[in-house]
Amino acid sequence: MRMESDAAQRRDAVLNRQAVIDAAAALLPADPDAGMQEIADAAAVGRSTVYRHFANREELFDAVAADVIGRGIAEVEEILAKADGVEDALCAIGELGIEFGLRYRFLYSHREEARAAVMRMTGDRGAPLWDFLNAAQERGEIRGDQPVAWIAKAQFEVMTAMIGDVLAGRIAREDAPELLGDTLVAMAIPSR
Amino acid sequence: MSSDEQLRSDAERNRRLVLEIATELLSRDPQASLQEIADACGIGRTTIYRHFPNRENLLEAVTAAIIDTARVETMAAVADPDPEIAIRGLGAASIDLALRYGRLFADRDGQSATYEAFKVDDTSPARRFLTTARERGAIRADMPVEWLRSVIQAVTFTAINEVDAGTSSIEEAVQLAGDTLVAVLLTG
Repeated sequence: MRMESDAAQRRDAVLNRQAVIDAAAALLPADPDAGMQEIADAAAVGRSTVYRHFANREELFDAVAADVIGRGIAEVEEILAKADGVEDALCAIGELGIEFGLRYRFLYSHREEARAAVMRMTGDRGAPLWDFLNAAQERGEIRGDQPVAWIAKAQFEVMTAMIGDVLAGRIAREDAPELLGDTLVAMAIPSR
Repeated sequence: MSSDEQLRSDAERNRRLVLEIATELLSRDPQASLQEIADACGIGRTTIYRHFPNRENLLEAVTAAIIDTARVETMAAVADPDPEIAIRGLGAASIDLALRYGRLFADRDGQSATYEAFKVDDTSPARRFLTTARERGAIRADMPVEWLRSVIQAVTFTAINEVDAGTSSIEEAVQLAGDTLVAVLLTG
């Protein structure tokens, strides 16, 4: 179709690419071994379209990981915007972390990227979680004797540990959110 | 001493030497070859093979030796009756042990049966300390010991990353980890 403009073609390509990522992110949690054909079917595109965007399964997984991490960050930002205080925010982030960690455990090999994303989110001024925690620290709502970056990094590792404990069956899924929330709060607000 | 006894005690001394040097070399460089270990011991490679028929065998012995060290040092670290001092000691010991030996286990995730057994060991000094401290009301009782161990591991891991990244000195990391662990384990 020569009539179709380049812009429209590009838009279709972007939409197709996102459709494949969405389909993979929806399909892989239940079936981590789903093949490229199944993912193409779920996205209602041809196999060749999938391969036009992703040379192989690994490239697709990378894109899904980036997408999931992006969504996680967006949800954290939403929590921070709506949270009723630090305790509320930490518990909600903990719950989100458990949910994401369990649902997307097929991305376990991408946990370094998730860690890097959290570091960017907490690492410095201008990063959403850093700003939130830093403002809370200035108001005296979280402990003032530790850098905010340390608190956030340690909290991320504790959250990762919880996901591991639930997956290993050491902690029951239904106990996890409260246990993690209490721990995250204790790390930030020692003497409540 | 008869010549048989002499031979046996030489063999025993060699075995201990190999184990000691191998532990040191392998925790710095997990890929160190048996030849490098033999050279560092000043003995032939065949002598190593006499004690440890293959690399896997040597690695298991090294792992067991490290676990013994970890046991002894952790036990000493939690000996203080003041729970805050014991918790800080536990944090400092696990950071120190991880900095010394962590590399050896980093790429061997789940590969060493000995190490796996240690991680779930009910008699490990850290778990015993947490269990008894919890029973006598010295640390929080509303969280399972299993989870408190996970928290200690996660905080240790954070501290090591800080040291590796050059963000904190070892002393600063130990202080931060200790403060965090005290906050989690003593409140509640």
